[in-house]
Amino acid sequence: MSEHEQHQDDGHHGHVDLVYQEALPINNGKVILWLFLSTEIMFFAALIGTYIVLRFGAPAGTWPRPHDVHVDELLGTINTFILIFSSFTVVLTFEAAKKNLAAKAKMYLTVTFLCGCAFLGIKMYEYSSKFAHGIHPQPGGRSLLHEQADVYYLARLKDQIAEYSKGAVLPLAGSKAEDSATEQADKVPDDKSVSIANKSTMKVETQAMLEEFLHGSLQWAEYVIGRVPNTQSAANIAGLNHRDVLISVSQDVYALPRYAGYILHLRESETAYLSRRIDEVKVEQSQLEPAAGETATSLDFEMKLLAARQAYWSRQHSAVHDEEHAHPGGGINQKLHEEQHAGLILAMHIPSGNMWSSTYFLLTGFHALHVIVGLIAFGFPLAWTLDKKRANYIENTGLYWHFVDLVWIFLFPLFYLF
Amino acid sequence: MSDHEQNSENHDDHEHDHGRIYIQVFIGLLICTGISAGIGWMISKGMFEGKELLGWGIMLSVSCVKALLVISFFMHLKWEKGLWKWVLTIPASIMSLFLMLMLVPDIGRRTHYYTDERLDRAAYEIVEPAVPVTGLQDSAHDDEHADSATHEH
Repeated sequence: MSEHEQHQDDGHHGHVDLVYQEALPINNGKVILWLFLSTEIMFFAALIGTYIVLRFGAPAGTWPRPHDVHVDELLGTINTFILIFSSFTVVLTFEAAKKNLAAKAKMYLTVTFLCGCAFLGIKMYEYSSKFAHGIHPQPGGRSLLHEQADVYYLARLKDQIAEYSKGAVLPLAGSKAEDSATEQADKVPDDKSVSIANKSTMKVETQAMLEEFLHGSLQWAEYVIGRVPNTQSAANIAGLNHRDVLISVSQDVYALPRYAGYILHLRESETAYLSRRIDEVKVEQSQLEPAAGETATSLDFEMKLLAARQAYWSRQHSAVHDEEHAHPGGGINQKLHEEQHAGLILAMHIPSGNMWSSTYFLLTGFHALHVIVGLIAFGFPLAWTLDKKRANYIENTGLYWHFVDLVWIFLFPLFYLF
Repeated sequence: MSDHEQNSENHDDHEHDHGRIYIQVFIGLLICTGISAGIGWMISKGMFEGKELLGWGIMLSVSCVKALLVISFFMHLKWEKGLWKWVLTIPASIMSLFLMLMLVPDIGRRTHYYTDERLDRAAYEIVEPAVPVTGLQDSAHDDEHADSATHEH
């Protein structure tokens, strides 16, 4: 406006009638900020609205309650308080800056900045606890939150097994042919066969690790079928007799607290078998003649495997025990991770958990991004003298910050209390 | 620059010290947060068994009150003069409302039109009775869901 007038004056034409046009009664920065906020209203209202539609459109009882997905409403309430308080200190900053009270303004702004940091810190803690429970934002496709041991779940398991076996010592499929080949090589010992034998030993150990889970996994499948309401899934489960799938299914069984009883039963029968077999092998070993080298090695090897299996089950005992007493469904993934079966980790099963996790991370993530931007905008004036000249900047940044607070006002009940 | 100064002078002309009002608004926001958190706690303890919609409705209404408090006092829209505040806020709000309403038929009511086969293959057990695909029924239950999904904004 003023530039335009100036230009006309500089020209000295004098023909143009200057018409006074009233501008908006606010400064330009504020106009732009409000324009931006009106697009932000659309942005967040669309996201929140979509969440509301999805959440209430879900059939009754199939949307995770806050506690199912480890949402802590106390943390949410604290964060709400922090944001509201920071909004309050922003207006105090603005008032102080308007009155030219620079030191006071600086103090309030520092409090605001610290509040923003505290909010982000709590948010980070919350996110990490979600990740620890296997709840991740999943770009594209189904996430790892399975609702039940159904067709999708088994399909995913199959994929994971395929991935897993790629990284394993030797492929799991077609193992029998290779077995016989290495056995023959063992009989003619030379340099080459030693490495093959080593490889074969490793492979047998890998197989044995998986073998641990094979026992009873068929019964487990039946157990699941008994609980899957529709026959289609049952047929699918029964049709999937690929042993690796079953093995991994029996691994993931610990993620389902409702199967813990079955696992305890499985453990009992397994440990009983193992101790019996170990005794047998011991007897066989003691009866062996010192000359029978080959038989001795194979017995030693079996003994090692049996011991490994026993150790496995004793670990699982504490796992099941912990599960029951600590947080059901939480710990086993961690254990799988420690035992380097990361490829087999599956998250626990929560109805509509996929939808929940994508909406949760999308909405709170965008909100957290806005908080970060706000903190950057508040970071600069921390180095300034916040007198009357800066009041406009403080006001505009404050407007943005209040909007971020406003979004959280809706996110808090929707995600933490519903 | 002169523009800025002029405007801040204008502010001083018709804006007074809002310190007390800000404190009152802050306390009001705290009370509202307390109400929401309390209802959330009651719902989690099962005190709203069967009337969750009521609890949710109260919580979202409280949120709307909080939003209004923040917009009108902290963002001082109440004291702004001119049409611009309506021009910038109302169309955006209406658009966002209708964006959401658009989703209701296919997304919000997605399980109301499942075929029997789809229901059989559902990953979870659908608790409420499924509406058969034939015909456009509008049971009371459907309305309840649609309302809860739409009336809040």
